[in-house]
Amino acid sequence: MSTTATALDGLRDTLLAALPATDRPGASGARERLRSLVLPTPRTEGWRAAPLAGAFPAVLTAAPSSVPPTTSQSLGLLPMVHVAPRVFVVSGWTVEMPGAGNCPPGLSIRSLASPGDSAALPAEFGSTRLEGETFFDILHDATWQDAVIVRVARDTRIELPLMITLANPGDTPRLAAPRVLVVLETGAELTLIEDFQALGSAAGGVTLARTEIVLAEGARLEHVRVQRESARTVHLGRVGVRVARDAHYGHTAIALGARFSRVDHTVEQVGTGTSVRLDALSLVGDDQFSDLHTTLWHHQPHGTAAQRHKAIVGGTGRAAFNGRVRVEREAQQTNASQVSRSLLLSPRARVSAQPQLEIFADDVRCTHGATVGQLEDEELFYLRSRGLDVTTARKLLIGAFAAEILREIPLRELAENLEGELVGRIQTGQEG
Amino acid sequence: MIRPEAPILLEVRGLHARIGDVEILKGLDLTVRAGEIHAIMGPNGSGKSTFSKVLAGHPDYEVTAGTVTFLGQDLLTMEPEDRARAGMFLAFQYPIELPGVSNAAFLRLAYNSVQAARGGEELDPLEFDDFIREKCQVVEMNPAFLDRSVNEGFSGGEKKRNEILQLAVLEPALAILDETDSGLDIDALRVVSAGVNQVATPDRAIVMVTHYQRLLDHIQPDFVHVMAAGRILKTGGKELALELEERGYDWIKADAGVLR
Repeated sequence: MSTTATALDGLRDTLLAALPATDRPGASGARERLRSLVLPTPRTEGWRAAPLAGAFPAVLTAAPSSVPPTTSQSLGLLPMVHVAPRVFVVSGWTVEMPGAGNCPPGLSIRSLASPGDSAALPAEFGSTRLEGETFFDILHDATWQDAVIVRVARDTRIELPLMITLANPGDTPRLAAPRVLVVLETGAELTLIEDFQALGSAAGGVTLARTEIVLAEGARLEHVRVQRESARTVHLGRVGVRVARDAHYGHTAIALGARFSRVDHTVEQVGTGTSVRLDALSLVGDDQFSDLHTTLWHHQPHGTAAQRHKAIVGGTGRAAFNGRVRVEREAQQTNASQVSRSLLLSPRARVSAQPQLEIFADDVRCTHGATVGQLEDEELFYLRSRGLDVTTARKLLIGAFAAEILREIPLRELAENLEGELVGRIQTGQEG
Repeated sequence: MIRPEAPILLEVRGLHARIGDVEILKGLDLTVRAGEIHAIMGPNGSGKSTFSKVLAGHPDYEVTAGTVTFLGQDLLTMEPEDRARAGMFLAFQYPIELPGVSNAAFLRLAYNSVQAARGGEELDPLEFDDFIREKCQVVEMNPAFLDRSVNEGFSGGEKKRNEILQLAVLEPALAILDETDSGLDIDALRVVSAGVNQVATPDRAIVMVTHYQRLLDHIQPDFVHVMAAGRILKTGGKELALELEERGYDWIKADAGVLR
């Protein structure tokens, strides 16, 4: 048995030892399935680049078995300037959310831990497709204990963005499985921000995050997903989206943190005339691995989809992107574009970007392109000839590369905050 | 303005430079004093643009022999940004487009880094906004260009105006204009030249590298140098430019014995 295989077996034991005793729907079945499942290996399709074995903490503890007494204040979460509805999730548990009286009309937010009127799971729960299901998805099923459930009523537009801040603190690394379901009824509109932050003591846990989004006919969602967990965290994210007829899904993913980050994002188009925007920016530094797998699945005609992926990779960082676009035979007149651009800041930085087109319809327009480059010497020289030192010049150019994605964030305050954090984290790569 | 007693800003002696294995500058000499306006003319491939880039510190070029003294300092050991801070400015022949970098932010960063090096006052964004709007008038530039990305989508004339705007902002001791006139229509040439004339003061000097005589109708040179085969072969006054217009360059090359 190879060292990798031994390490993966050890990791599997560590993960299973951190399972909580939960009786949530599906948990016992998942525990049963996990007995016979193994972790993805370097030979598993889609996981070849992932250095799983070395990334996880050696010891992992289970998340608390009930709502922890943590508050946003005790973790030093800064209050927002905008008075927007905010939900705070710690180790998978919803610890703060607006009361029913504090929500704008038409917006309902509840958690399973404090269910309010109804403890029942809505029909949409667990209804989105998990493309390329692995051990980690089943592990989530066996681990989640609470869920945030958001619903926007028919034909209601919620002006303020809904902010969900998620943290996985602990003096020892914890396995946490936060879960979010967002349902927009027919014609509803919402801006959703999920922000995975490094708060409290950063022992570096494992976050198994799952977000499901169900958009009914004509609904419009702008979804920002920020991953800025601590440098010792392992972040495994799953986003499943179902887009009904004439609905719009706009997404901006910003990944800055975690030692190992893997997000699988599946957007399934189930009605005609949908529109999807999928933008992603990953900043990957020394000893970080960041991987994004997206699947855009078109079942019906007249769908449009525009996808941009950007990675900035410095030091010994490694980034991976797999962009799958599947267009079924019925999905005529689909218009899909995909662009991936990566910027390597050091000779040891690595990136792999792979488009994957599976097109069964014959009257479609699907384009894709991928480039990997470095900062342009002529651009650097131009800036230096105007008195800017090399570090400032490089940061300015890297910031400009990122700006194309950052400017899609509908909340200016957040966009500026992230731009500052990004520039602060940039390793300009001169050290080689 | 020729004043023999004016301080020497730039002194180039026996400059040799190459890119890769190709030697381009082969023993270039030039002395520039404060207040002077020099024009360097010459056929394609004579090394005019290489000379400007070498002065600004372009990393692609390697100086193999000779000295360059700028304001008493050894220019060749200085980084490009230190040359700029010391008062050297190159207006690019092909200004670089920087998508995503706001022109206003870029200009302020440049201004403040040069000010900091010279012990001057740095400006915050609000103060700089007033300052830069006034400077825009030097090149008749619409301040709307400040909100755009540096040179992105600018026409050829707009890019050159943006170069001269940077010149006006950074107030260098020595400005090198590398083919600033090429690709300009008459109107743009007039505006750009007027901008240059406004910044040409007795304590500064200007070196114009150009292919065309017509620029010299707008900016009066004190000296005209003819460059070929990597050297300055002949130096004269404005009348030399007119002679070049009529006779071309071959007679100078023949006189100097460099015609093949």
